[in-house]
Amino acid sequence: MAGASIQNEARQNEARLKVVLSQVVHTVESLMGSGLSSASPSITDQFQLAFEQATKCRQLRLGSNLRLVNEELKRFFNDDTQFSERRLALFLNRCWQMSRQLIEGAVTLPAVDAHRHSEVLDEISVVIQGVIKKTVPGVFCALEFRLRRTDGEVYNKPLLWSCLLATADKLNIKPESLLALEQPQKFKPSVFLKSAVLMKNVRLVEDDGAWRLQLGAESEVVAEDMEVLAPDNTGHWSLDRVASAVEDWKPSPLDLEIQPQFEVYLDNWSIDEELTHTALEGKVLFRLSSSGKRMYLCVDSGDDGVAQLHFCRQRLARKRPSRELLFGLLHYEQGITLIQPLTLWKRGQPPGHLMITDDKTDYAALLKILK
Amino acid sequence: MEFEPPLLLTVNTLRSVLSHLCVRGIQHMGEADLNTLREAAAFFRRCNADYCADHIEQFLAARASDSGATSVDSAQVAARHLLELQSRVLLLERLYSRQRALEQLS
Repeated sequence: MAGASIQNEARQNEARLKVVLSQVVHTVESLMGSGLSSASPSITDQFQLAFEQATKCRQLRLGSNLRLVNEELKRFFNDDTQFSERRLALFLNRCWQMSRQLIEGAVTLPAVDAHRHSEVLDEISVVIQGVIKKTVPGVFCALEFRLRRTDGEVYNKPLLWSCLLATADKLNIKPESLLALEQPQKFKPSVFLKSAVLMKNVRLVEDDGAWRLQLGAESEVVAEDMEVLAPDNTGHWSLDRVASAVEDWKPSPLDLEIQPQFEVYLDNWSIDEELTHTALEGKVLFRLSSSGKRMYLCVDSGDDGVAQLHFCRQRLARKRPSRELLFGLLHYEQGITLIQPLTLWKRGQPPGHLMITDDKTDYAALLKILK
Repeated sequence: MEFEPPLLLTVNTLRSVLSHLCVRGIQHMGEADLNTLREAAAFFRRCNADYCADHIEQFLAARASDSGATSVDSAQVAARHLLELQSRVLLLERLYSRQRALEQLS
């Protein structure tokens, strides 16, 4: 009886979702017709409702797109300088496509989101490969740690753990502050920068393009007595591995430009020019050669990219090949190979994290005040 | 132009026009935007990207008939053609990037 009741509730939720998504489709088409300039700020309520219903039905990808549309709409109505027409158009289009697929039954409910692999690991010993920071002023700041297992085994997708802090309106907190923020499991994320880390009772969840480690009340995270060094063998993260993955890549209109994304280690590389690209809004490029291949380091021109920009300009001025290993995230956009540089590995030395700024703010004290 | 061969130039120009239309609306399109679409349709036709060319031409036809009693339907049809075009343009960029990736890695 309980099973039948749950099924009935699921069906009702799906029916409600389809009604809400029909309204989303209509709204997107109307926006295209008459423009956002003549729309009422109340349309954000509709996208919020659709986001809540999509989340209830475990349509996480659609839900995340609806949320992103809403964030962009709010920026527009608040005259926020961060508003981007291009971003809004992209996410409106994705919502329109996904909503139509669901309404027309081209994708059945519950969709792919419900079938992600997930398992609890008794313990896993990991070491950092790189760290990414992300700031959306007044919304959140986050750190994403790119990891690898210390036992040499590798997953078929990148392994990562991330932490996020929702920030109040107008409060611009740097993601570096999260390094000093004690987590519910009584550890500070800065532990990942200092040594290998043993994680116990942690859930491994398959995400879009990665394996994500999730902590719960029972989880433990402790430092291990093991130095953080580059892997002995970087073959798993080589351009040859990327080549075979690209052959299997089947592009879809729902791909984001950064998908698919690959972790790579480069050696014997040099930078010879700084450029910009009209279609890559808010990015600075540096032309790079490695093993006879031409690529571009891609750096955010805003606050998140300050340290990377400094590093790239220093290396550009040097004008000779670097022997250190460079770890970064590679993707293809506009027909070129772009790499977000994350870590510089000198032989036998701890890593240099290229996104983390070397400021002297006492973040522990700052966060205590915020609490 | 190292970065923008004709296909990407057309794709990027269209993305820019379509992004702008989300804010301004089809109703307020100017002659310059319409010319961009006509040129893009001709380019896609030459490249055998008929699906994109068809959506542009059907959009232009729907927009031209957007008057009187049928205006609401025509406006919706016009908007749908542009949204379909936008998703195809996004896909073209991905397909082009994949092709270039394979060339660069080989």
